[in-house]
Amino acid sequence: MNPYFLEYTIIGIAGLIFGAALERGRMCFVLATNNMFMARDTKILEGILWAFGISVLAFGIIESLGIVPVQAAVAGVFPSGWYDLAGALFFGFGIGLCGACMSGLIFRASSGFTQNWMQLFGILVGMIIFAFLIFPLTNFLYWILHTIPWLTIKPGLSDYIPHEWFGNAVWGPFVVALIFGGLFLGLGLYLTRRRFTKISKERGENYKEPVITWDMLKFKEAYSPRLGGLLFAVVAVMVLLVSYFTVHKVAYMGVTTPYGSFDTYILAPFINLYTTVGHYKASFLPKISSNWFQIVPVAIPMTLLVITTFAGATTTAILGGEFKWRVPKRKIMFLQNFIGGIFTGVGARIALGCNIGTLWSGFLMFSWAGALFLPTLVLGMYLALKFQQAIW
Amino acid sequence: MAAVNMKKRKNHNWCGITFLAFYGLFTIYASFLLSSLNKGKVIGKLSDEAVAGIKESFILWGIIMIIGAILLLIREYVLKSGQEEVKDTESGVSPHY
Repeated sequence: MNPYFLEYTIIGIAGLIFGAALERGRMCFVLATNNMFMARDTKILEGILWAFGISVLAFGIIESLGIVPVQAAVAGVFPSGWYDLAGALFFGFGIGLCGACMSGLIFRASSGFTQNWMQLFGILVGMIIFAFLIFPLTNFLYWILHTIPWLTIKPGLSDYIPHEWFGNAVWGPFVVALIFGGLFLGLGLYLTRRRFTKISKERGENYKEPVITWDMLKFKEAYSPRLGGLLFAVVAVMVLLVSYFTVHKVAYMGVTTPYGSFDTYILAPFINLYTTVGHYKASFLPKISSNWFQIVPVAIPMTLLVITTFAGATTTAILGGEFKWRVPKRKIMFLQNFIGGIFTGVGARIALGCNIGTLWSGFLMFSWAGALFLPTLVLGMYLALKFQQAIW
Repeated sequence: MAAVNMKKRKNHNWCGITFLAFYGLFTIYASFLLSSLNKGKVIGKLSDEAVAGIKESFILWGIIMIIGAILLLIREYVLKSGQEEVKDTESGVSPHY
């Protein structure tokens, strides 16, 4: 059997599970942050922490046991540096304006939220702006590869934390996973227990939340944070193992690159800037030979994963009786989401990924990308919140 | 829990089913588009084996999504079981609505 057919077909199944986990678990970083600060509700944040914790631990075990050799895992690690900090700021501001991150966008758009379709359109426009204006005008690739050394960590072993800390020790990935994954799981466990205690006090009885129920399996009830987190981890592990055992090239989770690769490559012949890029940039900058989307394959497993994730989320929304065509009362929200989408798209490309591809996968790769992405992502979301409070 | 917050509202499932069918058609269209886009690639060009495998998988998934949409259509309009379950929940709904 064609290994690519096998890889894409199984990753399509992973996409369906991912869509269900997103939609039923309400896994959205912005929603998690807003609920935590505004309503003091940590339920969604718990799900994200469980997802990060379980998946990071699973990846550490897989790599330490040699199920996926370290060399193969490292081959998929992309560089991290100043662009993670800068991109996450734009990205955070964008998703803050839209009220949904990349994962939130997928399940909300799939559930009929019209403003998130506008956000998606804004993201596509943002990626076109990045590909045909920002990338050539700033000679972006040059600044990724030739910048102040401590601001850019090179890909491969030099950005693989287990190797940095423990050399070639086989237990290195597991210990690093224990540190980062343990931190996420510990925080998730603490927040879950604190929420249970709070509800118990309010109700005057010992409150316990089941991890899984029949109603959850039948999509009649939202997933518990622990089930949502577990499914996230299952999807990430599926993608890693399937890609390695079929085409011998590991794939990490990511959802923005397919959008960008698709729309920029479709438009490239019409805009025709990528072949004449030298005319559009300042003469003092070195010449570059290719645009960003020409560096990645036109189809990656994540291209199909994104489509089946949309399909999975739409299906569970219908089966759960929660699909609704929702149009915002204030039509100006469409404009806000479009502008926020542009920020989101540009930020995701500057950071070489979004909250899935760079933040989550950064931790799964055991690179610094996730840790660099997180602080400015939060700052960007905070600035967006303040900006909205100032204008509305 | 979610059931406590539910209330009856207008059924929009036809719209979701249309989305699902559209995803399926788009996936089949994408299978052909991707292989044609691959021809113009400078770096990261896929091999013929990869393009063939990816194309077949996209077509398979496109067909699965269309079958899924038909099954949901039967559930909605023949069995009529979907129409009784339509509800609003507090969770996941943007404050803008």
